[in-house]
Amino acid sequence: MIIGNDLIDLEIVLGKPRLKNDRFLSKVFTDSEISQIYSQSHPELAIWKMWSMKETAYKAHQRLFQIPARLDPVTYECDLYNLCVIKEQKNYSINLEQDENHIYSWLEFKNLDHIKIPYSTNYKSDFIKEFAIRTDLDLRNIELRKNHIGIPELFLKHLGANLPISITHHGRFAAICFPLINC
Amino acid sequence: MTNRDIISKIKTIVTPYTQRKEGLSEFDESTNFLNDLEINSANLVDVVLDVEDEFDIEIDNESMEGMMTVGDARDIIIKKLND
Repeated sequence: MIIGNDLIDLEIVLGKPRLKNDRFLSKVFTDSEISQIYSQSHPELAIWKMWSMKETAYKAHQRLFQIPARLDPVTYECDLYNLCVIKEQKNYSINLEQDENHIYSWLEFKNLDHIKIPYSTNYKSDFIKEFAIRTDLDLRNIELRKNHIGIPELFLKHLGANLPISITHHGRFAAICFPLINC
Repeated sequence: MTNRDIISKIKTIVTPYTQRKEGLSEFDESTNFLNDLEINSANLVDVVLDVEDEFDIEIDNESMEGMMTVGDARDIIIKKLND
């Protein structure tokens, strides 16, 4: 299954305005996306909503086709009105939530769960602890792994199975999303 | 400009965006910006812009796509300087 999420700490990104930075915009957005940004009441915020949607779609697309990491944001065509991103004829529907502190986006999919925690250097083990509580699994049976191209998954030792997960962190926040499972 | 000069300039550029500072102590052409230095992807676009300014070159989006390691960046810089 495909999965993807992305998180942005607004304190960091809004502290460095990008709207007047044409070179940055042209490396990340198409002309039509730049028009969408300018049509929003808060264009700086729109930049990061769209960036977050693109990142989410990138992670989903990368997992689906097992593509090594690339920096090609402009090839992910983002539609902020319809909350979708198109990449090579694939249409990714994105959910987006936002408050004054952060933007969080994830690939729309049934039966997903999310864990959001404050970022710390131990955030990955914090996730696993919380995951174990929510799924009622033994902590010792859970191992966070990355596959050969760096895509994360949780290896559930007692089941000999991998669970796809998506991980994101930025500034003060970290989040993972994963499919709900019956163990 | 020697290979060493270019790599040292790249190091100066990426240092402020590097979240995993240990990655800077083993900085060489195999260093991966995302995995070894944990530069977030929006900041990787900033790195590309800073490289353009430092070397007075233009990095098109197609070249930017594959700029994942120090060696990739060095190769793109050399190619653009010789264009």
